Amino acid sequence: MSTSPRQRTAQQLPSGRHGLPRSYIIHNQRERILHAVVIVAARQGYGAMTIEEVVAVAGVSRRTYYDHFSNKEEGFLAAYDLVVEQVAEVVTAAFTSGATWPERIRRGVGAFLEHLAAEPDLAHLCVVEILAAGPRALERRTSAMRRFHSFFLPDEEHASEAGPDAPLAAEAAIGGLYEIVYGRVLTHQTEELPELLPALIRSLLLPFVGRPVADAEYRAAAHHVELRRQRRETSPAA
Amino acid sequence: MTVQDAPARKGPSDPAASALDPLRRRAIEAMAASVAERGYARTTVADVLRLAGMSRRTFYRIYQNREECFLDTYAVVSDEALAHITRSSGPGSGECEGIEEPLRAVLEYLASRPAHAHVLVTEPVSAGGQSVERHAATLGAFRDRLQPVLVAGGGSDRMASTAAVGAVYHVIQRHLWDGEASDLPALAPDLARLVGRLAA
Repeated sequence: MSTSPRQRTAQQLPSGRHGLPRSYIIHNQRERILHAVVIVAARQGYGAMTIEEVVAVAGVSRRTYYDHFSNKEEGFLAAYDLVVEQVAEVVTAAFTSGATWPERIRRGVGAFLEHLAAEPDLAHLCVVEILAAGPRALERRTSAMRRFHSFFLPDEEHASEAGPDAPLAAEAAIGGLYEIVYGRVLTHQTEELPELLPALIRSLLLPFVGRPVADAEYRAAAHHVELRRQRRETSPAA
Repeated sequence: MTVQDAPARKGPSDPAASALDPLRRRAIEAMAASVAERGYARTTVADVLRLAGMSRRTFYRIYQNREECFLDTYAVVSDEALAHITRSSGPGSGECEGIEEPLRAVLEYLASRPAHAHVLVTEPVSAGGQSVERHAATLGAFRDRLQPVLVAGGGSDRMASTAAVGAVYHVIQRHLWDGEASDLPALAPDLARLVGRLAA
């Protein structure tokens, strides 16, 4: 790549004295580097990603990169942690907004799919590239997946249906969800993810709730998808 | 070695496992053992040679490089696993109650061959490149085997069966990573029930 690391990007801070506090600049530099890691890793894959390209996209010097991270892997893992943190925040907020456990699941999974669809690069990093970035990355992924298992542990009202193997069912549900998402992200169909919600949510809920409840959530999700489609048709720019 | 005296390369183009060349079998088992022990990323050709008791020259007659050897290992191991499942589930079991039997066959197969299990389940994704695509194809093949059973059981669409295969895969992967391969066969009834309901 011929881009000079000195070349200014849109996000680069103006040089010289800008009166910003040093802590702000450091924070901002770190975020810019992590954002650049997401872009470069998604486009080229972790294996082909270089620090040169990351600093060129971030508009920081090589030295600045090494002030924050000791090598390529450290930058990648920090980007993954940040992405997972964001996803967890979005999903938790949506999950807690539901009145019943099945509705929480529908809202949480819906928010997850929408978040990924809105940021295909970010989706690629946390769903696909994390698998190709070595043993430490796989450990991070395992603990991130474990974090999401707990959403699928049903509340008291729905625990009896799932039976004593509820933790296994939760683990399986996360695996099923991951496999569907992975397939779409790998084939660059990330933007279509939200449209899968109705069929996906029915499938994911069936091990835990009876068919009437799963069907009701299917209809609610289908309605949501329809509204979303209409919104997009009336304002294509949105 | 000149081009003339190099024998025709056997290998990845021919994954038919029925009459596998003994040298190729040795390289494959050595690759599987090394991958199970230290992962593909840290496996070197030297590791494979040591475990296979094979000369460098013999290795490079069969394979161009480490990746080709891994892809061949993956192809042979996944063919054998699929053939085993087909045999043990039999032609008559595509009826509605038939999920548990093929599932148990998979779990027992993996539990009895932990090295092969690592090649199949935990490594292809981290090996990257072509192995990711092959892995997607293998999961697709498992899904296609499962699909008639699920449809016979009242199950529905392709997405549901993909989710069901993904669910099983994820549970198996976690058990292997945690060194709990021997616990897998006992999960057959619970997993069969889950698969049936995920794809119902």
